[in-house]
Amino acid sequence: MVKETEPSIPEKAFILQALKEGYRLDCRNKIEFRNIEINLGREFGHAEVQLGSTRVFAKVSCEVTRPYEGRPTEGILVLNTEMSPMAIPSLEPGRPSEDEVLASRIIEKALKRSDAIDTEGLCIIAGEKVWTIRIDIHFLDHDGNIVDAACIAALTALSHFRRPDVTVVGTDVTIHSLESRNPVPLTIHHMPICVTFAFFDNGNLFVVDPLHREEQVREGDMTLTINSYQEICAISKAGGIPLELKTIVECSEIAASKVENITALIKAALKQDAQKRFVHYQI
Amino acid sequence: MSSTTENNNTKYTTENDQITSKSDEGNSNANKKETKFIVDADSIRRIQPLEYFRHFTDQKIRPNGRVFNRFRKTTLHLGSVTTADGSAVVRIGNTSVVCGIKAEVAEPNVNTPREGYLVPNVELSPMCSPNFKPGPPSELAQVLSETVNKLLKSSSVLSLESLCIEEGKAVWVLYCDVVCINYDGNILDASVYAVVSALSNVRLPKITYADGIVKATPDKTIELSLSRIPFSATFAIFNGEILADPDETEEVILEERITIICDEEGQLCSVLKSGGSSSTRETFSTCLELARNRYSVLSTIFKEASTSANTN
Amino acid sequence: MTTDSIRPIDISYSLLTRVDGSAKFSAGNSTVLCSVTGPADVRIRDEKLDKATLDVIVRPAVGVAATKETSLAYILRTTFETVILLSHHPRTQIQVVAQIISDDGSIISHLINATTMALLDAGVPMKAVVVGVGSLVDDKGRISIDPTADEVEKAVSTHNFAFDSVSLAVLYSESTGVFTEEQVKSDTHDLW
Repeated sequence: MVKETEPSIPEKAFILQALKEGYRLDCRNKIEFRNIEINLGREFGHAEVQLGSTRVFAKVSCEVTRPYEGRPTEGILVLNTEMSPMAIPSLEPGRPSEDEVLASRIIEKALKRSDAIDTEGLCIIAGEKVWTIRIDIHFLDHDGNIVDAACIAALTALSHFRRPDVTVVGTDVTIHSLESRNPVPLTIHHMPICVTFAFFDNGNLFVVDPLHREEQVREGDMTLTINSYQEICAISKAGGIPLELKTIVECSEIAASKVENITALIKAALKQDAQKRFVHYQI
Repeated sequence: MSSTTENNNTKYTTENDQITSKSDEGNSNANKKETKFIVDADSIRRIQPLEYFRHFTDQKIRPNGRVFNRFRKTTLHLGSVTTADGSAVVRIGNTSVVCGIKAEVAEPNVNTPREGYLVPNVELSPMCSPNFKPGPPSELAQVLSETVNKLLKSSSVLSLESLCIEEGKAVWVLYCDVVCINYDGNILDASVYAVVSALSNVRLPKITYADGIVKATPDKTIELSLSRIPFSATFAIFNGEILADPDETEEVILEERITIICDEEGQLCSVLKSGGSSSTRETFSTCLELARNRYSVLSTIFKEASTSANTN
Repeated sequence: MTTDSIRPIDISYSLLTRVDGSAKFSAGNSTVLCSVTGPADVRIRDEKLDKATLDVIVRPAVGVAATKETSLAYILRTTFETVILLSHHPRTQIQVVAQIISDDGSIISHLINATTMALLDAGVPMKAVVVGVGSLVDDKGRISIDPTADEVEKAVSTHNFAFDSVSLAVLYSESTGVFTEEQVKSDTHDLW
């Protein structure tokens, strides 16, 4: 059990003063994201995202199950987040931290409530068999802003995922192995991407993609979930200092431009992986 | 671990004669007694359990009075739990476990429509030892459940397809619950013996499936067809010496352990070894021989118990 | 007959920032990420007066940790307790967290190797380096090393071992399935 250390008073003052002068701990400007690195695994639905030194790994898997009673023609989307002492050594294993619960809720809202994934396409036989798509998000290293990193990882993994093809004859279902038939990608309506802001100095100062040290000093935070069509899917601001309307508008404009960049990065990573697979296939 | 604790031990280590000196007290000189720091055997056992243990093993005996390769007295009773579909009560020395098997009908998994379920679970409640706390299953209990599960599945003791009633519609679920009544070490041997014996004791009713309804006959006669009958033998290793069937006190001190599970044809079903590196190839061969001997002993007890259960 | 080839190995160190040591070990499509923290404060109920407490957590790639993971953690703990010089740091805790990234067979051996690497990276004093290897015997009696998940599925018996680098003794072994003693012996190249 390592004890978490709060930043000391001079440290807090230093971070704040630097921000007021326009500097951040890692020399970024206040609306700059850290370097985003996306690695896709050899298996489908496996994505590891590094946002600076924050590291998140998402794994998508599928299974044939019975649908929920009330929704016989819809597939099921299950989201599970796991944070261990690997990410935060002071964490008590088995007890989810507040950070994790919040992150999990925001991502769930982003993916499920905004209907990012087409669940009706996951139905095999109405009322009998549907696909359950499971997303496991593992936080490996926590250096601030785990929400954005997890969101990128989850979306990349979902876009990368392929489920086995099925043929239905009457009530007989044949599931084809990945080798025997081309696996099927999920239908993704849009990519809701989270952008998190941290606020300081009574809301006069804000930064995008806060570091862990900045999160410890911040007075409030807000996560905007926006897709590449410039539509706001969710806004979450759980407590903290009150914000002026114009700040929120300013933030959403910044976020929208960030979302464009991030979507492009995800697409580039997916394209590169597809090319690699194609080359491999030809050999 | 043993060698590092040894190094730290040196300052405590007492000479052999100091241990015996307590019993010699009456004869020894009174002045000498005052100047001499006396540590009695019981204190040594508490302060330096390993050293205490070594004094015994040097004499080729264990503190509990057993010789190295002797297992504790083992008894088995089949069918004594009448509410279960099959049961076994096992005692190995002071370790006693009860295994009850409950059969239920359930829908099979979509992906394996012809396979039934076999669900072993080992419970170590505070009743059997003060070392176990109430609440969710302890690490040991989970490890035991998993070991028994692996044994049943990977050595295919019972084919899951034999539990099928109607493909894709109904299969048997066998819940094998092992409850420990009294814990005094070597729970794995006891659990494996109990589960396998209880499985052989299961009697299921005849079942008919028609239009989504499962009908069972009131009398239970059908036995399970077990492909093999594996029994387990556990040894603790102390400086290369093999101590059969360790009890709780020995388990605490000795971390290195070998478990060998073999079947009636002498084929091995499982070999587990953990914690420590003092065993060699010869140790393994000796354990194997001892395990085979132990198998024939357990097998005799098993046969006797089956005959007496059938006649009752 | 023995197939001695193992899948290509890839190891990277010190990937994580908030722990004392970390390592990623992959062999073929099996990957494990492991972190080590400690010696650090220990919870009072876990405190040992003469040595450090080794705490091991294993996390699966899919789903939540269940009995299988507890079992793997138990194997790691009992194996490493004998090689880490725990008595050098009494009343502390050394915590190992092993995250399975992808499981394509022989996962326990990769867990062992990743843990060794992470402990080395964290600078935890050890008597020896532990190396794990998985193997299986197929229906034709052939032995192969470092099997994939598909191969394990078809195996008659599987055998996992961990060796100590100094004495080359077997620290941990687990064999399941149906097999003979000759197979176990030839599997370990007569170390057993």
